[in-house]
Amino acid sequence: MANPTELSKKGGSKFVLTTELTVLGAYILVFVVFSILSPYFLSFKNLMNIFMYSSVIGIAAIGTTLVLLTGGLDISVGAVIGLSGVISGLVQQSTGNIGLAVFLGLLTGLLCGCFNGLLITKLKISPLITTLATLSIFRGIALLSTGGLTLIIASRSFKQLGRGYLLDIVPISVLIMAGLFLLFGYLLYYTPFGRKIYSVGGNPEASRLAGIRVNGIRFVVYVIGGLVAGLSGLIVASQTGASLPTAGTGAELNVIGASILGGVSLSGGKGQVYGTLFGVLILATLNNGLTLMNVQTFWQTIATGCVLLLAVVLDVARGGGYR
Amino acid sequence: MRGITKRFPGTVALHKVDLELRAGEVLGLLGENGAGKSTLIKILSGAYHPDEGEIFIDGEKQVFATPKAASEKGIGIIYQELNYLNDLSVAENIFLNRFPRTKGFRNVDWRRMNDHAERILRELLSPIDPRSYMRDLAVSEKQIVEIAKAISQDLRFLVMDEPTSALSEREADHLLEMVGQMAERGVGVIYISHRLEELFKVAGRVQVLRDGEVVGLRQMDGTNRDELVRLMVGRKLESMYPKREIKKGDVVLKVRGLSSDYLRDISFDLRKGEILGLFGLMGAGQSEMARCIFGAEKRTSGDVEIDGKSANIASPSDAIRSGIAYLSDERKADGLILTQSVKQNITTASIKKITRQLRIDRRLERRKADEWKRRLDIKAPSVEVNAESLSGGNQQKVVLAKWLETDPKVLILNNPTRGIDVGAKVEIYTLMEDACEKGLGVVMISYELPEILQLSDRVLVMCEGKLSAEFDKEELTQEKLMHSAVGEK
Repeated sequence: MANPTELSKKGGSKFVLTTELTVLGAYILVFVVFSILSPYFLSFKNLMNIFMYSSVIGIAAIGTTLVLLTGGLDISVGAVIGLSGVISGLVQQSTGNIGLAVFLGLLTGLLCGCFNGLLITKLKISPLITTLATLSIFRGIALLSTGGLTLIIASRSFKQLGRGYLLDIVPISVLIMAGLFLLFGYLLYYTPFGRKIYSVGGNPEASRLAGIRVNGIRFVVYVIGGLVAGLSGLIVASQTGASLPTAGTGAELNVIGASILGGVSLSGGKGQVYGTLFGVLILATLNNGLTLMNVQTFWQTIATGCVLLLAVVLDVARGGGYR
Repeated sequence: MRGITKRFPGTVALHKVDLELRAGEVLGLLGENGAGKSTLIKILSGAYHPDEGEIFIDGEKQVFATPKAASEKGIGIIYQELNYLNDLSVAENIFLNRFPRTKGFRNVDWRRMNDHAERILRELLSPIDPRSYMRDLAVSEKQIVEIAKAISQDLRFLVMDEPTSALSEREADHLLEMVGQMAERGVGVIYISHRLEELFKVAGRVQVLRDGEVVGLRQMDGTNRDELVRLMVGRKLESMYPKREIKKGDVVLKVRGLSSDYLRDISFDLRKGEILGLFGLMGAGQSEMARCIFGAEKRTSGDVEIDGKSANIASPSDAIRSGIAYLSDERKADGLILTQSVKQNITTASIKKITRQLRIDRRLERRKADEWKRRLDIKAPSVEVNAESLSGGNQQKVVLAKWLETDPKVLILNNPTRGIDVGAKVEIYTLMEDACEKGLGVVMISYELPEILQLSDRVLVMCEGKLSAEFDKEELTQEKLMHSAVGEK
């Protein structure tokens, strides 16, 4: 992890354009363009809408970013979102205990992450294949547990998680997202754990020879990835007021896309969580702006795809990419 | 080949090398590791381009832009590192990209391909089934397939780089016969081997390279092994080895009965302040031994003691905790994290030392890194730049700083001066002497004889996974080392 911002401070007035700054610039550009094009775009309410909409992907993307930083990959995120939502919905239906439902929903995500981590570190199955398989398994379990049906969640307090506001100003889900980004930004920058994540992603063999427990680090990032995906699942369930076994379908592409858009290298070792945050916001803002401009949803899907493609091209230009 | 010169950043790999190969002869090519043999072959194969010099075939000047251009001229190369596709059959590997086709639809003619492959393999007296998969073959069998591939082509020239290193004696004998037969058919063969007796059996002439220059061309029947060894190793020793008199202390590292899949029963002691040289040919097991001691590779038996206490080493982190540091020979592959800063590379192996209450003290880290940069004279604009941007010698100093920062008692250096320029070499040597003065024990693995001869207080020689000899500084000669390394008494 080069730290060019720190370098530029030490080096005097020299300005270094980091990947993350580029992404921030892109975000501001998107923002300005929509402000001009749509009269409804630039309002406090709409901004909070965008943030609220992005919290689901944003929270899950934190986990994906950590996994990518170690040089791994997790495409089971969407299925974990679906499964944890279903489990918490089932618990609410049968016990009515919201606390227990939230706890078990999170635990589901955590266990999914453990399962991925164990398969990858102990059985040495490649991350892509492992999570491709578990994507299918987790989604299947979610569908089986409800018989494919949607569970309506009636609880008002549970709805607060995804739709509630603090003091009628800031959505609670946005606060959770912001808190998590701060927490993981701190962990990555200041703690040995964060340092080791970058080392493992930069060169696993050199890290192992330097005494870092490479598989331990790998395991933990998948567990964190599962846990935050579980939290995302709870927020989705709360926002929609229902446990959909198909919730989060395709979310893995959005979280990976957002991370890469934010400057996280697919080959590992490079990137920042705040870059991912900008990536998430760009995708969410794009969808919001296009919706306000009455662009058909199908076109929005194409636009998202184009932006992701652009992001991957950027990754290649930064020296990552497919060889 | 005439006047071939090839420079790499910091070194001249080949200097005005001439090489003449006649049709139907076997020319032996001799030289130490790093003498320039491989570079010469790569130029002949079109993989490298010479900075100066020309290649002629039948008096006609050739320019090989790619390996394909060279192979179209009938040049076949069998590299020491085998190139094969594990998931294809033996026959497919032999005829890769030149598959026989059926008439009509031009599909791959499997029967013809398998028959042809079988014929070639039987000529080589090998029982390998052409339909079996490469994955399932032993290394020696893979080598035979590689040879079959070379002779299945219409070759005019064949270069073989240590083709027998993985073969049994019987297989090697068959191979030598095949080489002789090919020469009789008019193929010109360049044969590279460390096994001198093979050259005496098969080669007509032998050319010796040293430090990228031709130092001798002899008729095989007009020379003897002593002369060849002397030609290979004999060089002027420059005053680049800052050896000091350092008092040896107690035994710091004791290895007893160390064995693994490759190593057999290795025992030795290392004293404080001592530099123990470890010599051997490539692949004789030096790296495996170092990695086993360091816990990076599994051992099947054996004990390692540090300061008289048994160190239970199951992983590199155990080894670091007991005071062992291991500088690997591939600094880019497993020494450095190229995407990280010099500062972070220096502290990778000792993150605990810069952690205060669960948090990395970035100022302390910076201070430590700056201190190492000053002490080892690491040339970088700042410790914040990526390790990638440094030259080889400075990268090596970063890795060395990383290990010294762990406060080791034993420093195992695997070819510490590989691929770095002379100036940086001397600096690394000086640092080794400094470490000894501070009471560290140093194990230096090296393929470079002068380094071993000049710096070691004692030398162990490895051959085929075993320790084959031990020499004190006083009784050390190049010839003795070479003889023990090739497994002769």
